[in-house]
Amino acid sequence: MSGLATPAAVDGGRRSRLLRRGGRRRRTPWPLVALFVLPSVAIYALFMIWPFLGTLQLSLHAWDGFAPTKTFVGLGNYVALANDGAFWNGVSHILIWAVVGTIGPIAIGLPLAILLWSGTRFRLAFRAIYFIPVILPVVVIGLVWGWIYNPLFGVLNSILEAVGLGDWTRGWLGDADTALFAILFAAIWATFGFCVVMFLAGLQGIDTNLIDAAKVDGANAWQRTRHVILPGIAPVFTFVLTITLVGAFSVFDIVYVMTRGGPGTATETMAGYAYKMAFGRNFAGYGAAISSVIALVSLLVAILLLRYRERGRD
Amino acid sequence: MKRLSVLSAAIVFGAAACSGSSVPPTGAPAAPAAPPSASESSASSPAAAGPVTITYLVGIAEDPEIDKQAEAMIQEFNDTHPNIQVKREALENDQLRTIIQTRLGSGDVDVFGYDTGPGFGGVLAKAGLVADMGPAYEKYGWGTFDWAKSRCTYSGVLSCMPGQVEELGIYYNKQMFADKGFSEPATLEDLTTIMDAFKADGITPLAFGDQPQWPAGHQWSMTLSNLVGREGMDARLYGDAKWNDAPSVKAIDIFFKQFNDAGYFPKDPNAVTYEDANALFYAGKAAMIPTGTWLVSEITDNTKDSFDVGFFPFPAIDGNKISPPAGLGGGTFVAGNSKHPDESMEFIDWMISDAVVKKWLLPVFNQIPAQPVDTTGVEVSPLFQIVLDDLAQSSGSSSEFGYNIDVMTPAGFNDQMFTGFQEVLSGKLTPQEQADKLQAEYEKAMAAGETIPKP
Repeated sequence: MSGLATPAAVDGGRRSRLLRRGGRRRRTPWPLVALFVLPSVAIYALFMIWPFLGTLQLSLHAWDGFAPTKTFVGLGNYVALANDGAFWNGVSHILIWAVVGTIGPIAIGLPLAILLWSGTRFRLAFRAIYFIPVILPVVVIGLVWGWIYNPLFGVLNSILEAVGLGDWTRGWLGDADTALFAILFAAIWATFGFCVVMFLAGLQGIDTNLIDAAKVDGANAWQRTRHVILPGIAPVFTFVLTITLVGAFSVFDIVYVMTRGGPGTATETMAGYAYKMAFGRNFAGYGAAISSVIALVSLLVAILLLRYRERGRD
Repeated sequence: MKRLSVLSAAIVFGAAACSGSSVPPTGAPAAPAAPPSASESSASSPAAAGPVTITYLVGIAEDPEIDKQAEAMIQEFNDTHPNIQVKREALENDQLRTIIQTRLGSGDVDVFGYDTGPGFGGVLAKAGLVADMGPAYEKYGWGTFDWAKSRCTYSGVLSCMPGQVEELGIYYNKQMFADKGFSEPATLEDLTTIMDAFKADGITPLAFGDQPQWPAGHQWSMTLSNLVGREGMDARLYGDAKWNDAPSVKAIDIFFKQFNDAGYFPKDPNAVTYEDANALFYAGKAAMIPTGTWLVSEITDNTKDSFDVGFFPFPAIDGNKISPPAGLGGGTFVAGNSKHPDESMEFIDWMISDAVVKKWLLPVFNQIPAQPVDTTGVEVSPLFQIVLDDLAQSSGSSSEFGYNIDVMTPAGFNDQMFTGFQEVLSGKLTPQEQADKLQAEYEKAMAAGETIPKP
């Protein structure tokens, strides 16, 4: 063996000495770290972890929501859930929601964001306009779209009649074939502005020299989008996808305001069914089981998407 | 002195006590907890310590003006009772449903309004969350009708003060009827003749909106009560007859299939809210509204400058006797853990006193309390007088009235009623299929002990 030290060994030795010196100087101040971290951890544990564990625990019991005692039933509620047609009806609606309600706002939001980023005048004004629905309360959105769809005085039917499409008029929220999609349309309207703003933020991080270089190389608009822009906003894209997809599994408010799950059960979602069982029919344990399923599925989807994103980074 | 005590004989409903509970699908119901009586609780009541504040939780009135009047009534109590201050909290009924358990558990509610059905007040009573009001009934000598008390009695314990008496029927635009030369219909055929005539004129005959789902239950209550009468309704409630037999199916078919197919409702009733349907009537675009007497105040307010309104029960079907559905519109409970049960009972006593009934309940809120009422000197709107007369005319025997089904049946059955009738309206279910599903739900509820027991 040569007695000569390799550069790497020299560097390694210097680094280790530096680290040792630095270690003495920069010892991690754990009490201070704890001081900063604990409040947020405590709040998260109190308002997220604890209720979630409480819901899981409740899902293992039969309870009417009022009685002083609960009856432990183990996985009985989950077994009942697996055989409950009404639950699977809600699942089928959520799957439609997850697909349409995720693709819709992204498909609208991404091109708009790229258009705005590529130098449209009044970019700030457009961005603000697109974002307005996001800041509106869901109840307001539900009511306004309820009026638009109203079969007695709704503007949608009036427009259809005005353009000679009177045969198409209907009670959009009262027709089992159209109600879910009518609500989805309102939800997409409420969400796409969020996608625009997020994508626009992601686009700010793309080096425009890359775009120019691609142009010089003869790449057309689609090729520049496919090979430069989309990879550049991949983390934001995954984030938006996660938010919209996970949001679909727990959708409740806009459906409740617009149709209460009707007509019949044509727009009933998993969360709506959980609410009905827990508060309408006094099956609190069963409602907790449905909520737990929603939470676990959402968690699983979020983890899968985040792992996919991390793999993409590697 | 004109008394409405005749009403007491008129509305002699089944004396069955309401009891039972909702049973989770995978477990046995918990054992009932013993309700604390007012006198027991009052042992720890710091009444002698001076003025106390009691919290009164109640569903908000649909009309903001009426809600304001309710606040004014409470203020009058506070002004005349310096030792008791009532803090009224009005919430949306759906919201009340979701928070009542937490609020009662936290002990910050003393008096509250709630539905009296087995799935509502019955569950609270079973959990020991409401006070036994029996001693207060004795102490104050409340003259509540026996049939009404039975709706507030769970497992033998008298647990609430019944709310207003309500009847279901049809309001109509008197001007429109007069213009066409129509009088109140006595038979279903008369009614359809009238509706055909209005429809031909481009007027919506019946302003029925079922977007909120619950209005459908009221319509079925009217047609079924008229087809099978009080006895038939009792037979169904006690399991002696089926909810899917021929009359039950026919009652569904008449309203939800025949009427809908004939175009008597606004277009797409599943998409029309209760408020929008009512607005059609107020605007003179609909000739009739099928709903309950709780709407008298609102109808009077909205039509007083435009037209007179009349009220008639759903007409006779196939020569059967008319049995308009009637029942209670909820009840007033005292929390089992109230720190001020005596003051709470005193407040309830004031709310049903003759003075308050004459000053507030009858003329302002158009509410008929479930007790004999002295109406001397009380000025009520013509429409409310019609309702009072209609209830009084049906005196004599209990068989005069049918039931508003949803306050007597368990939650699962009601859920099937509400969602299923929407599906009948949209053609997804036939009347027979809906009736079969209702019967299946009722059998499930009976097996779980959730239905009203046979007396």
